[in-house]
Amino acid sequence: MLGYILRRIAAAIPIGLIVTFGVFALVFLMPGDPIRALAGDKPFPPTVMAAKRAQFHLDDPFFVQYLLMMRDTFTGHFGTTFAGADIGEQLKLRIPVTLRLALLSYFFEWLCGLLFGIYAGFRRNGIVDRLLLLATLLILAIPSLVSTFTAQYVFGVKLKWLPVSGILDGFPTSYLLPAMVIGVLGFAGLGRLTRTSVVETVNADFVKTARSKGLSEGRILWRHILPNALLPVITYLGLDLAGMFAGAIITESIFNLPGLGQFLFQSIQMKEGGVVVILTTLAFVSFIVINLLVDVLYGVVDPRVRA
Amino acid sequence: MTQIAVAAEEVEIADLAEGRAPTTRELLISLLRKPAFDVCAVLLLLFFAMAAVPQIFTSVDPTVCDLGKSMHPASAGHPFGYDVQGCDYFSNVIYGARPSVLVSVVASFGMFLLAGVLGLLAGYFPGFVDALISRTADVLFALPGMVALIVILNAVPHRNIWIILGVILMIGWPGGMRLMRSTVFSVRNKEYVQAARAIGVPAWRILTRHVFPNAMAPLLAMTTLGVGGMVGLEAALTFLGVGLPPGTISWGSQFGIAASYREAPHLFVWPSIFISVMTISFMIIGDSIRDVLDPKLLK
Repeated sequence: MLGYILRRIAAAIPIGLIVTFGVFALVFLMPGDPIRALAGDKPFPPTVMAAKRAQFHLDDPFFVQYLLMMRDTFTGHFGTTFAGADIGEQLKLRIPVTLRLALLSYFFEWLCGLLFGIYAGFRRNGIVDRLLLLATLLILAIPSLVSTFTAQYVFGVKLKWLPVSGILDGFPTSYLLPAMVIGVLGFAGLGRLTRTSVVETVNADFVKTARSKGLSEGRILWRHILPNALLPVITYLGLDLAGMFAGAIITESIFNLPGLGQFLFQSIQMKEGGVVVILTTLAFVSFIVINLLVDVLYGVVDPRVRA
Repeated sequence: MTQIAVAAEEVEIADLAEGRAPTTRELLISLLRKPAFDVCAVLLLLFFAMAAVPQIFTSVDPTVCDLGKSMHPASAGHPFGYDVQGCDYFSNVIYGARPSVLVSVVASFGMFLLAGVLGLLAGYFPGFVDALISRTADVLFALPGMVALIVILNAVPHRNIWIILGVILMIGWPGGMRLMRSTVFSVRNKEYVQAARAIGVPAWRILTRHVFPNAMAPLLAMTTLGVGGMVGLEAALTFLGVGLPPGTISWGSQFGIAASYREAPHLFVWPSIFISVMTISFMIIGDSIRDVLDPKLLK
């Protein structure tokens, strides 16, 4: 098991280097001069400009900039943005926002997805099953942009049940609406997957064997059906996280939540190459770690994977 | 004589049980028997017509505007009201179909070809070719796709619809490639492929005539289910400001504007209805095609 984990980490390192280098190159190649953009219309004394450029190593060769960047990222010296904000401070403020949003949406998604998915799988073609299939088809088909705006307009602007945007009302009030939107959007995929998987497992031979051995229904459910039916669902856990971060960019922009997604988007627009690379590295590392955990968890649940 | 016919029929049934891809004719007939498919196909044809010749749906020029009528509600002859600049909103929504249709159809078709060809090569030529393609896919998989799209599109100075399409294709192929690769794996050692190889059929002919037609069904199903998502993706990118340039008439940019003018909900409602109807139609058509292609998935 340990060897497996080490192999996975070793395989992730070259991919990580390519990804961060690629992102850095793209940000570096973006048109426009970040320092000049900072000054706006006002004239900028050449000495200030040169000092700023030196501070951010903007005149060094591209490759040197990348190495300096990576050194700073891994030693935790994130430095400041071009406008002067401390990146470390920003991360400290923003990570909890995104984390709260992600955890709350995960809670909604997994609660609804597993409950409905398992129930519908057991009562196949029942009323709950049919409703679930119809609802998830609609949720999957309507673009997330439309559903997010609609939810914000109906529950925030018209009914005034929940705050429209911002985080002034604190946790959980301010986070409920965006988290529910992300949760419901993710629930559709999860619910369908769980349902299909349960349907397949309920009809499997080993369940018939268990039943003919005279095991109680409860024991069949907990010991035979669920552990097998939830295997593909565990894989979904990792995939889902990538979608969560992508969703955070749009959701945080629409609900004006000062989290990492919004930070990333603003940084790209301000040509803050450093911040973009730090954030993508962060996203990448957490993605790798989560997927590694998922694989390990998979090995724990499924003895066939353990080698 | 009859014996041969019976034998041929048996072979055909065995083929079907093995998951042989049905012929286009068989597919079309069983698709047209589904009422939901017919309704959605008609709706999609309407959208395609809207994208190709918007003039037949509205005689109003979407760029003729009167600022005095900014955000006015619906009135006679202007069923959707006016947008922020006071242009007729109905004609704007109609003209907005073009980028969405173009992106979704071209991106999906391109994705099918790209993922199909790469998956075919990776699955049929293990070793260097497979390693090259699969490792590239690993790198692309390691990034959340939306982040990659935003970063790349933001680095492009003069974005237009073809550049957006190219970048979507560049980022999006690994999922389909992996699916195709795994089905090619299961097909490449079937008897008919071995037979073709034994009589000396060249590799490209084996690939195009034997392997690809028999391995493409899962990828086709995946692609048709994803067409609707492409519409949403284009809208999301344009909304975030890294999609079509400002001034282009598209549903995505209409969302972006509607987001800042909450007092006029009609700005948001109409493009939403159009885009949702279009994606739902694509979804249902994709669902039907998947059911027809693989009866085993009917669950």
